[in-house]
Amino acid sequence: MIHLLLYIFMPIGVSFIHYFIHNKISKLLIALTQTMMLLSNLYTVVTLNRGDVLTNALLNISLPYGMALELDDIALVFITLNVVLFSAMLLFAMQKPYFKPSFGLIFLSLEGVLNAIFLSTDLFNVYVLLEITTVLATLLIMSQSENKSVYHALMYLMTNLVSMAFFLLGIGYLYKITGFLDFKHIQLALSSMADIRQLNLPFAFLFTGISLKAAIFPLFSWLPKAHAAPSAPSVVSAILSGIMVKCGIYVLIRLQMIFGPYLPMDELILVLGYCTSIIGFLLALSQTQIKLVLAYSTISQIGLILIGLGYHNDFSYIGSLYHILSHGLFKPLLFLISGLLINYYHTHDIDNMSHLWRTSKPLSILLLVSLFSITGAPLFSGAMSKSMIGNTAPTWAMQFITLGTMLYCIKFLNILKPKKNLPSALTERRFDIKKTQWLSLSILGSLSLVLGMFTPFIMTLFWNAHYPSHPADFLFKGLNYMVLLFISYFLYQLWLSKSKALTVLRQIDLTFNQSSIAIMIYFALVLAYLSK
Amino acid sequence: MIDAWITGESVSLVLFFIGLYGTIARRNILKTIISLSIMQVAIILFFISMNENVDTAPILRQGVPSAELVYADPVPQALMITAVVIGVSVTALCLTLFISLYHKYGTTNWKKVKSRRENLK
Repeated sequence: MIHLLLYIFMPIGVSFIHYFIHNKISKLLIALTQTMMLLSNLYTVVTLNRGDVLTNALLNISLPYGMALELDDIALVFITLNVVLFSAMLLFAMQKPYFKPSFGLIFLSLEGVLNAIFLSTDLFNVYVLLEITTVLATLLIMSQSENKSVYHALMYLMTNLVSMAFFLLGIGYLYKITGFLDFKHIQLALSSMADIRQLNLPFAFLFTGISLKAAIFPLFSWLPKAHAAPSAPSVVSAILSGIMVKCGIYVLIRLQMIFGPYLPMDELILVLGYCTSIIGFLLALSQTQIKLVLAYSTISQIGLILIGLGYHNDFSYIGSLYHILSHGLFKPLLFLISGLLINYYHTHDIDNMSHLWRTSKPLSILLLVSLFSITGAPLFSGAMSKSMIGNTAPTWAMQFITLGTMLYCIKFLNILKPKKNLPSALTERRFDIKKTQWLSLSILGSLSLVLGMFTPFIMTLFWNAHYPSHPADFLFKGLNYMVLLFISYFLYQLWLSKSKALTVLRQIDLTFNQSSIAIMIYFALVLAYLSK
Repeated sequence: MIDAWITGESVSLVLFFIGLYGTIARRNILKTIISLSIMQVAIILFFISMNENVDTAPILRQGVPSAELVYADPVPQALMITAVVIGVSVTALCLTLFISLYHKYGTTNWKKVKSRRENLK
């Protein structure tokens, strides 16, 4: 049997070894650890059937008094994404000057702690681990240049601490009512509860806390600051966007499993999903800094995942999980490419970047792959997940969100084109990309393609499900995609690129006090909605 | 009448929202960090007074037959030891970041830090 503890302690242990000896052997050890985890993960993906649970008891006493780690089909998706993503990021960053022993220690520890969240079976452990990830992420944000990013780091840390205080108080209330902390026994206790209304308060506390972690509207003001901190290495932004924000989604899925049958939670998630998605793409469209566009795009994609969870039928649910996987691959790819572009053009402004197709064709192709994936082009990873999420959603709503996604992607397409007034010195230089970095980028790009092309196979592997689709559908979706792309291209070039309204949107930036007000109002609204 | 309202639970809820009010209304970074600590203290009070009863012993001791003694649930107390440690360490981290921020921007005000950042760009 696979020992689940190794998923947690192997990366943390290796990070300490690397911290103390930091030579070729320790780097080899890191590579070996990642390979072992990838292989064991692959084995689990192949052997674990839907509904199966791998359990690893940590004490001799059984639950609810003991402690255990469990790997089910939902946790497996997140663990797979985490291990694959960290392996690719390590490949990218190992040769970089900022990959110092201290950076490696925090970075690899984060991988172990994230794995622990996905394997954990009780709410208090999840709380402790979420706090640890917050501290580690804060250190990573300010790892490269402490002075520049200290404001971002403090904002990120403090808003997350406020939300975690809500979460912990919610755990307290739930423990008071049910007497349990682990997911299964809470579920059992709720099933025999007479007065469901007493769940409102703990749920409102828990939901508010985790909504901020998952960057749900209107509690996402911390996300762009953390994910797009100008001085943070692109690998850090990639990890934060690719997997860290998914922790919130993961806990939300667990809460949905616990509270879903008793409280009107699905409608709440659905409405918040639509709001988050639409506000996310509008804000992404208004930005000019390349990393900020990507950070707001993450918010928009989170909204899309929530829509799937909100409809809560079999296909939309699997669609959401599939989108977590695909977003976890194409968004880090986009962040890594954006980091390379920032270094090359010496600017964060996306409008001042151009000529990429002439300068580096492989990088342009990788950029195109990630753009096709994020917009949901047929045969790319976002296509099938969006189709499954939109299975029960109104077609016009999904088309509108896709159109919004395409609009901010046009900004990236413009990088490929030549621009008249660009100094020739800029276009004649070459990109300084090492072989391992190419390998990492290619892995992420090809995995995005694999997720798009072999969807039935991957769905069978993870969920033992089959999504019916016909060749005629495929043709229709292709045509639909082309039409939307043309509309968005002309809409952007002729109107939005010159629009003044977007500049107003760009000014929206909440301070810490305003974020706290947002949390308070959000909590009050959730409570009012539940008590109606 | 009033005595019935002054319980660990209600006091901790009031404290929690006083802390939250501090994070909303105080622009001084140091005071917001203190407000966060108040929220954490409120939670600790909530947990340890969760199943509080005058007749209960705090924990089960050796030599005292458990059948005769009604004892308080030890789990929340154990949880709070962890929460205290987390609270102390994150407050320390917040204060460290605050000192670094103060050296860079020369102010303790959230709003002024934000406007000075914008001027720097």
